[in-house]
This record gives sequence, C-alpha cells and structure tokens, in this order.
Amino acid sequence: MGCFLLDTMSDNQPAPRSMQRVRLWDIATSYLRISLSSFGGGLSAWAQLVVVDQRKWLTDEEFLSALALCRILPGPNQVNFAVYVGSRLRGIAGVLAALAGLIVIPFFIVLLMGIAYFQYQYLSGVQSALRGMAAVAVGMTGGMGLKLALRYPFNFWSMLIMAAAFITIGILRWPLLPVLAVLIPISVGLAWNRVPEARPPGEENHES
Amino acid sequence: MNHNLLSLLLLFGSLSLASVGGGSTVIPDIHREAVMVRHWMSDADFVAAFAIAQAAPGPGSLLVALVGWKAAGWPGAVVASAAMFGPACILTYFSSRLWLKFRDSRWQIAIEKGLAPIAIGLIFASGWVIAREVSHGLLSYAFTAATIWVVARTGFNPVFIMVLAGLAGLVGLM
Repeated sequence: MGCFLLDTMSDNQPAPRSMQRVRLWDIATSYLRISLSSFGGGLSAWAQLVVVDQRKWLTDEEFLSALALCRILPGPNQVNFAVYVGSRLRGIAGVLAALAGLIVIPFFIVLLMGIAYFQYQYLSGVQSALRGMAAVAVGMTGGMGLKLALRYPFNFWSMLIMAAAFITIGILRWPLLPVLAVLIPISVGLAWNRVPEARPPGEENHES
Repeated sequence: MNHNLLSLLLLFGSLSLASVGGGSTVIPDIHREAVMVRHWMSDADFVAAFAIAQAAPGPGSLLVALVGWKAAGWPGAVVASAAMFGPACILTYFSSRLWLKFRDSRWQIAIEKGLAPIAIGLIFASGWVIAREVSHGLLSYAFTAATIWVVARTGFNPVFIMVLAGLAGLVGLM
C-alpha cells in the first residue's frame, strides 16, 4: 500500500523524457549527501533513501533491478549504481556529477583519517564509537530491505526466490555468481508470464 | 612514472574488473599484494586501513586510496583510486546505456520483475553477514533493531541514531 505512488515517473514511461531534466548540480549534491551520510556504513540504504524516496528519480523496481545489475558487474556496487543513476538521468555528464559527489570528498576524508592514524596512531580510542555506528549501519541495511519488501507485490514464488537468495548468500555463504546464474533465469522466467504483451500503463503495481 | 605507481595502476586496474560481486570480494587479493608480496604496509596497517575505509563516508573500496598512499604518497592514492574505479565504471556505463536502450521491452520488464526479489534477498543477506561481524551485546542489538524500525516504518532520517550509537560507543557502553 502506498507503494507505487511515484506515478509521475512510473516505470512505464521511457526515461529521461518522462521527467524534467535533472540538473547536474542536483545529481552531484545528492550524491555528496549520500556519501557524507554514510559515516559508519550503510551507503546503499542512503542511496535508496535519497534517490528513490526523496528525489523519486527511480521507482522501487528500477532501483532493485539496477542494484542487481550493479552487483553482477565488476566494481564496487554503489559506485556502479551511481554510474547507472547518473547515466540514466543525464548521460555521461550525469555519471561524472554522481561520481564527483560520491567519491571526491570521501577520498580526502579517508586519506586524512588514514594519515592521522598511520602517523599518530591515536585513532584507536575511536574504535568503539565506530562499533556503535556499525550496529546502526547494519540496521540501515536491514531496514532498507524490510521497507522494499513491504512495498513489493510478492507472490508465493517471488517470496521463495527471495528466501533462496537470502539463505544461500547470507547463511550458507555460497559464492554469488553461481547462485545468481541459477536464480536469475528461474526468477525472470516466472516473471515473464506475468508481463503482458503490450504493457498497459501502471499495470499490477497498483494492487496490494 | 615510477615503479610503484605503475604497479598500483596494473594491480588495481586488473582488480577493478575482477571485483565481480562488489569491492569487498577482492580484499583478500589486495591484502596479499600490498602486505605479503610488495610490502607496502604491515598487516596491522592493512587492518586499520580497512576499518577506516569502512567507517569513513563513501565507498569502502576507498581502502585502495590508503594502500596507494602507503605505496607512493598522494600520487599513489590518486592512481590507485582511479585504477580501481575507472575500468569498472566504464564497463558499467556502457552496460547501463545498453540496458536503458531496451527500456520497456517485454524481456526487460520481466528481468526487472525477476531481479527484484533476488535483490531484496541479497540486501537481507548483506545485513545478516555484517551483523554477525559487528553485533555484540544487548545495546548493539537494540541500536540495530531501532534503526530497522526507523528506516522501514518511519520517514525519519536515521542519522540521529548513528550519532547516538557513536556517542554510546565513545563513552564505553559498547
């Protein structure tokens, strides 16, 4: 409920014609906010919060599929995802804006923290503060998963697929690629039957 | 270009395309090269660099900036980061152009619908895996649970819990 209220840019509209041209400055500052908020971790949860919930640049389904795409491709997932968002909104200029926001300032912060640690070794007192923040970062990841799960129109099979992904990767710690090589064809095959030939606007998303 | 810069470029340039599944998958390789093979840093330095990159804002893969800095100073940090992020970003850029070009074809909608439950399962899996490493003690679980609730069920910005948890750690409660 309340799930796909993002109808002004519902995913049946081709991007980016369907929305107003997003300013490069907005892409860069949004990504800067995402990265600076991720003190202690939780980068993907912040990206979801800003890109989907606040800016409404992507729908839930596009966010999730882009995230999966970015996990399959090599490279840090959230860096890849920033490339996707930037390229979706403004092409190559958007990519550079998103990457500038995501990476440039954190690059200096990491180096300054590292140099301070290597040269003075005084950071160890902050270890337990970092531990506390890590507990919150875990909660952000779990909370993001729960939020998206509550909004997703699950049926029996997609629930089973989700559980299989969680158990194989999270609990059994099987390697990602073989698991995805099995799960993706099954899940996409099941979804194929639910996609109508010519897709009427906003189908299916409005129930539940 | 001095020898170390070239090594950094080649090492992280190839690891960039090898990091299938995310930046954390190549951490064992970075460790082997930086500590055991090339002796750019000690074991303890590497662990500290890892913790700092995780805790600092931004992608955890900025660990490579610290490795680069240890190997060759500021130029090393820049070269290592560009080599780690560049190739993967270029590949993602072309993949996403291709992906967006076929937007709204039936197979792409099926892929989007099919990937969504897998992605949700993977998000829970990452939360679970990190939770097992960082969560110790009742207060830590309480902070995690409170954050899950705030993020999933309210629109509040979770940064205030982050600050509280940091302070709780700082005064020795965690």
